[in-house]
Amino acid sequence: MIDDLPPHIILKIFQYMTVNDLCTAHRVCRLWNSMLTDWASLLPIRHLRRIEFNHEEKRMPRKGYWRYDGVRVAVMCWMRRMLAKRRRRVSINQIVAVEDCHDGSACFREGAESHMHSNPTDPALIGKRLTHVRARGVYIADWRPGLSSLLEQLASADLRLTKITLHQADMSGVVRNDLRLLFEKYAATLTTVNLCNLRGSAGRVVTDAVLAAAGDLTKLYVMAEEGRPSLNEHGLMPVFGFVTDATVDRFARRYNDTETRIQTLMLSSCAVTARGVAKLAKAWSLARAPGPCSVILVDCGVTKADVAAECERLDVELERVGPDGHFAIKHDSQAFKVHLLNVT
Amino acid sequence: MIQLCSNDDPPVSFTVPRKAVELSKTIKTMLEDLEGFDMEQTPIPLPNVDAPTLELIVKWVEQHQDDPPPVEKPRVEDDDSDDSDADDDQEPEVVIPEWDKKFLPTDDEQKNQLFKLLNAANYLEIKPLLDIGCKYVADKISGQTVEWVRDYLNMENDYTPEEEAKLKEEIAWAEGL
Repeated sequence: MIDDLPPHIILKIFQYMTVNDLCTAHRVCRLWNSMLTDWASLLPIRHLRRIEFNHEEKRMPRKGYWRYDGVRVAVMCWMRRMLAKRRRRVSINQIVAVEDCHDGSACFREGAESHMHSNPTDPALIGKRLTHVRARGVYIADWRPGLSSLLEQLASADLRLTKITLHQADMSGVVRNDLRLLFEKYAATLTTVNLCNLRGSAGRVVTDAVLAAAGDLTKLYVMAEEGRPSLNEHGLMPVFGFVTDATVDRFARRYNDTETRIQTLMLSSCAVTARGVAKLAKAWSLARAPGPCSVILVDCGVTKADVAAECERLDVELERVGPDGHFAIKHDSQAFKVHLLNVT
Repeated sequence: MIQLCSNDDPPVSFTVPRKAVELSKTIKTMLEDLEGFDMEQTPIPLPNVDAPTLELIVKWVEQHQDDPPPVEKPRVEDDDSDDSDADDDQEPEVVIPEWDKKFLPTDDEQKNQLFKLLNAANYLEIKPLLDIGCKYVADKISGQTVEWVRDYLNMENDYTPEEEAKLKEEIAWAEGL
């Protein structure tokens, strides 16, 4: 029976399925659900592309676009890979999704190739629409050109943004500055920032986000492009990272100077090193009144032993807590936790 | 001519032209390793393949022995300097040839045979056969309900009703895409 087939044949079957069929497959049984989740990044992107071609005006996910679970991560992986292929005649060149975080009903999205070439969406119009739906979050992906004026529009609109997601953008010069202004404008309300596959001085954007949105920003997610998955290893290779030691260093230095209360820092497939993590832990432990902080490293290639060794060198005492084997240090009853996911 | 033996007791043997049997990478490698021996006289036992499956395999390789070998596309490294308008590096769509459509054991009561065939194609490393087989199964499942897929593949639903409801709700948005 099908149970007798080796996993790679099942994978092959999955690879010929469309997104809709994969959604069905997730529900067939636990084994398939976990296989599909593990293999999300190995599944081809063509099906999603087809869907995007045919359905331009459909709903966005109601919630939790970035949660690491089941189908969402699958679609997210397709999406990321597809956007990474933008140079190669991929259908989506721009997507703007607006989520009304109150009830999730006022979502809309604009996208598809036609906008890019013949009918670029007017940023002023977008600003108006955002105000109209009282948007609380923006999702901007692969928005070129005119990202700068879009960010300006967002900064001048009268909104109460709590969530900014920026995917696949060039962060050089003026754009970075516009983004910084946007962070500053919504410093009082912003709680979550997602940065994914940014190019240019992306590392500094991370710092900008932390510094500008002092106080309420509690979640900062940074993801880099994942490497070409290797079928042989059934795993991912962390490459294309842009968060370097220097970034974390800056982040750590300023941790003490600002009222930053980052509670979750997730770095995925970033070129962060064990030393960077240790520095961050050190900065946290020296801060006057640190809140709880979780650093989640996904596919970063940093091992527990590395982090432990670097922490020792910097005199940071890491204790091992929790059944999942993450690290933690305690300070004034608050904890700094380091979670390492997908480490080989 | 090469003789292949099934795993039945007593084994059923098939005589196949060498050219056809070499569509199987496993056997091709084996024959190359045993160069110098008189393989025409030595039947090759296939411990993982039973007679009905082996019969199908033999039919398929004989039909396809004159096919041009598949073109192995070199993997292009995906570095950022690559700004060309090259096509996507996706695998090409597999198209099941007409002959194969009739050949595949596609009746519902034969589905066990289909999976046995896939397993044998995997063991014998006959990639084109494996490709069309997998494509066929994927197409078969396409557009069907969860219950239908479970029934077709004889799979047990091991979710609790609560889990199932939750999963359904979670992916509902994707189904509307």
